[in-house]
Amino acid sequence: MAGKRPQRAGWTRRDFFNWVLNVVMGIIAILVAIPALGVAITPAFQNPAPTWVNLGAATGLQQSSVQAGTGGVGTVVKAPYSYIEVDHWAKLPAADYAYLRYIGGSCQFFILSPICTHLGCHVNWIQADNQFHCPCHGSVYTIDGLNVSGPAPLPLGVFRWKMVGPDVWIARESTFTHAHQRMVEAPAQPCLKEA
Amino acid sequence: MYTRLVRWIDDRLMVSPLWRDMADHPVPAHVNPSERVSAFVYCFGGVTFLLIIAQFITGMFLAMYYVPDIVNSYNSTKYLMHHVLFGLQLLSMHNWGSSLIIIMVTLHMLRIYWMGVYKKPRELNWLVGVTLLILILAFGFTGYLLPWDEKAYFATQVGVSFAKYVPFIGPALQKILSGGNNIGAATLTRFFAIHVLFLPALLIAFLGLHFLMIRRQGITGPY
Repeated sequence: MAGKRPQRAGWTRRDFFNWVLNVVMGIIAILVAIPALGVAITPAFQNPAPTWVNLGAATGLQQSSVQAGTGGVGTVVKAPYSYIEVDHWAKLPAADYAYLRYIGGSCQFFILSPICTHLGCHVNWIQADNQFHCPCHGSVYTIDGLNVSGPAPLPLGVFRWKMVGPDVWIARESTFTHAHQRMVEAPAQPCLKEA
Repeated sequence: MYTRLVRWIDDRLMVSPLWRDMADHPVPAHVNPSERVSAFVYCFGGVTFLLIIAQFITGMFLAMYYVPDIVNSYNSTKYLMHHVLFGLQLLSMHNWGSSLIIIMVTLHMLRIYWMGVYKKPRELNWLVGVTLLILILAFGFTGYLLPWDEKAYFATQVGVSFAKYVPFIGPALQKILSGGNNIGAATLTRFFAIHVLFLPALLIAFLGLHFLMIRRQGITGPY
């Protein structure tokens, strides 16, 4: 009834009821909004633990790396692995590979993620050039995974790893490269072996 | 600021009169609970509508985590309950809200029935209302299966089995409802599609008709 509203003479009965109605509706709206928004923003607060996956026996891995190299020095070899990927509620069998190199000393293995830090393609190991080449946009990495050419903004990720009995296990992170991410000025071969 | 914004919009679209027409629409004294408390019986329909809005909102957010697939629907529901902030609360609101709607809509229908509101000239709105009741019961029936737990599975088994006692077309109807010879993957996707796509579209259409007819014909009484 536009036009017939009473003159605003202080706090009228109608004003009071409007106020009560607005407050009650507001409370109901907030009660619905809190859990709804909580569900929507949950991913911002989730930081899933890494998945530890088995690469196989350390002696075998060491042997294949040394055999591929020259003069008893190990070089990069593909280390395939399969695991059960836990993606939120979904559990799926999955497979991927890591680039493993036997470096000797106390650190033994240097294990790189094959994921290009540019847009996520798998890089290829080119034995003749002693480099990793990305087939997508031509990024080039050294044997230590340092980005030396192309659009790649960061070095290749390095897997944290540990010995479980005779086997090498790597920590598959939920980050972009599935491995520990390095800055540009990071050391060439960080030792990420865990006790 | 707020009044300037409203004026800016009104200069272009003139929406205020439309809104004022709804918000300031006078209701007779006999349906105003602030005049007479017993008039709360006239609020059942409105409360049902508020609950339906709440179901729409909670349902949209639940769909962020739910998968209509026999492998993952139970796991995704469990994940929502245990690993998502307020996920259990949201699921419970949707769950309890569905029961509350059925209670409120039944009370609403009982008032309409006892007051004889369905008589001329409101027969068409009664038919629309009964359709809405069936739609709401269908919402409850299809939504019950979605968590894909034991209770959901066997409740649907029983519910779908009712269909086979329909004369002549019973067995075919049962197969159409369950999407196959038994309750399985096809039943779940079918019920999910009905629950989140078909029924909401129908519900909005029929609610629109319901409210238009109320505005056209007014509220009955006083008695």
